[in-house]
Amino acid sequence: MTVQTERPPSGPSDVRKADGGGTGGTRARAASRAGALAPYLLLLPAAAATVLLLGWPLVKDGLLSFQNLNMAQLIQHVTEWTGFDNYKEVLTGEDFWRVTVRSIIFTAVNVVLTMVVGGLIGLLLARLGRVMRFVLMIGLVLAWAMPVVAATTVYQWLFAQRFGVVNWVLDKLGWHSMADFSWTGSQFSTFFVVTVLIVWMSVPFVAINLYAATTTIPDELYEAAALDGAGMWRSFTSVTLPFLRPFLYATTFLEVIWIFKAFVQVYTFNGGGPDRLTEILPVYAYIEGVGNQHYGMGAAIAVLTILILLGLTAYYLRIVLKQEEDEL
Amino acid sequence: MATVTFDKATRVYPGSTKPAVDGLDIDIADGEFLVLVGPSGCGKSTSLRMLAGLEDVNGGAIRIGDRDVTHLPPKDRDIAMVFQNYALYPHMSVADNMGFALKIAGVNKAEIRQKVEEAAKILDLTEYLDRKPKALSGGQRQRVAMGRAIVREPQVFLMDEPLSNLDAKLRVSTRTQIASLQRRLGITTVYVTHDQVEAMTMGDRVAVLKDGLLQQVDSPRNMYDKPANLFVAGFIGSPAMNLVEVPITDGGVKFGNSVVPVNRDALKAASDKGDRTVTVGVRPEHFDVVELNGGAAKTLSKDSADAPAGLAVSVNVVEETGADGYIYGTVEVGGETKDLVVRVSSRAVPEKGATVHVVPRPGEIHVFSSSTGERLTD
Repeated sequence: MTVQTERPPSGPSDVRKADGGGTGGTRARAASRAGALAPYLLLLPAAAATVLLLGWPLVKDGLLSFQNLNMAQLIQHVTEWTGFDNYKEVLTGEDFWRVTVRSIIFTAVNVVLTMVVGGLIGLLLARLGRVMRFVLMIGLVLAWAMPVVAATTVYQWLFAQRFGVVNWVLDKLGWHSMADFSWTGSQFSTFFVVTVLIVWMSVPFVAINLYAATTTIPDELYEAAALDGAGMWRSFTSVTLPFLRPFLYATTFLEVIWIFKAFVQVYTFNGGGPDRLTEILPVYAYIEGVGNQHYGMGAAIAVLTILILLGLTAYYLRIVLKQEEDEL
Repeated sequence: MATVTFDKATRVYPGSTKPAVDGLDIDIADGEFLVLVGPSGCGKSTSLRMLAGLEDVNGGAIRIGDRDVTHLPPKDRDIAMVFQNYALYPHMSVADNMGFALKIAGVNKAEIRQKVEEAAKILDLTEYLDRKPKALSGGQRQRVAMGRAIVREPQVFLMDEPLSNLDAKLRVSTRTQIASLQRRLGITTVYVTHDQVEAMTMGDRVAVLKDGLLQQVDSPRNMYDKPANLFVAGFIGSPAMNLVEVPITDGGVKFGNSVVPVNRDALKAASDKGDRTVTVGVRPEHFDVVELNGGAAKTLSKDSADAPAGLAVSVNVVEETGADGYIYGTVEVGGETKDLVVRVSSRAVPEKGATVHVVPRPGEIHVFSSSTGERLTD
């Protein structure tokens, strides 16, 4: 009791000092303001680069999509604003929707194949011995590190009509009708080769990611599951899979984005041919815009492509966010 | 309900020539609580994992009841295990964690729910059944791990240091709960710990291991009163037993200025081995301080009549726990200084820096061979 009655005077005076505008106080506040700014300053270079390299082209693309800009206008330096004409033409045309459906199916098939093959290889990595794992890892990283155009060129050679290794092997194995088969000759065979190429290039990322994820699973859980009577399949579905789920979501998300805009492989391999039958949205936008010199039209297709991709991934993002909520 | 038998069970890890567990021989009775204890790396966890089927057995056999389980997979052994880190399935609710084994066994849902609820009631977990493990405290997680084992009603419980992740206070209370739960359920239990206090308080019997070799299996009482060798003597008991190497004299051993009588057979056994000294073990509570009217001092014959009896201890630290006081001091024996711990009454504690003389109570000393470490007295 006596202690309490003696103390109060010192308390409030302390508080006032901290509140009041002494020089020490302002300096401290200035320092803390600089401290609060620091994170934004550190973010600035990345933000500036993003705005400059992504934001500006995006704005430019948006503006172009409202203009009638063909070769003639480009040379004469005239700007013809046409409002939503480009969009109207694209959306009412048959081509755009056909290409959109094709793109979505193409993405779906590629993502599913990539995830299944990549997932299996990831699990294989987790079970291999050190040496074999190292060898496989190197192979994966090399496939991943391969420049896209170089890889596509190699695939063109592999699947070349007359001197390609693939046709030669198929011929030797007994499929003599494949001896001079033209892989670029039909829609399906072109997509087949492009799919093999894309899956081959995408698998390493998925495999290494999932392998990394499996290393976070404590061995004790498998032991507990074994004691609880779980067999191989049961401990996979009850222990491994729940741990991998967030990683599966994240990698699928990325693969959807990457494969949807896989312009280089498709365009380099067969230029969207034969007969524009293997054009997916980014290729379609490029061929319409740059190839056929309807720049405004190409820009409109590009904007729509972005919107479709946003739509696809938004739905997906929702699942991921919901999953995270459930986890908590 | 079942007995458990380790029959010369041996485990050699690949790439190592020295067995991690070397010819372990223990018979565990039905319903018994056996504690495996020892310093880290002694093979106690390996022994438990061999029984669980998580570790291969390279020699000998392990039996549960009459069944030889040496090479059976874990799921066919009808055992449940509580892991050190609990190993709860993080994405399953508490109820699902506890019922997982039954679900795999194909028990119907209503029955699983009923059993889980019963176990939850025993362990005071009823209100947490729908939570995920990460929303629980350490103590609650520990209880879920226990619950997962109980629900299965296995033949044997295995527990691998289940209390080591709890704070000191919780550990003491949980220790009692586990022991009483085991008594109530009557399920044979093998419990691994590095903590000898846990071992002594929980086990019906305690098995001490060192370097993969079984040192002694006995009841806690016998373990304390008759340690089989120097290692067990030093390991069991807190503060540890004082072990002093002293010369043999006629009819006893020379303990400072006093001669403490020792069984003749023991001395003969020592001298037959060619030893001129024996190692005497005295627990801190079995010393009498001469300055504090130690009763034992008067009964012992002295070497020189004018000097005080016993060993001179210079007091370094005095710990008072309230009920007792412990003197931590040093003595000089055979030209070497040794640390010594002596329990004294908390009412009469010597000053720090003082010198006191202590003698052991004659009936309470343990005599070990200096060369082999084996116990000589019985």
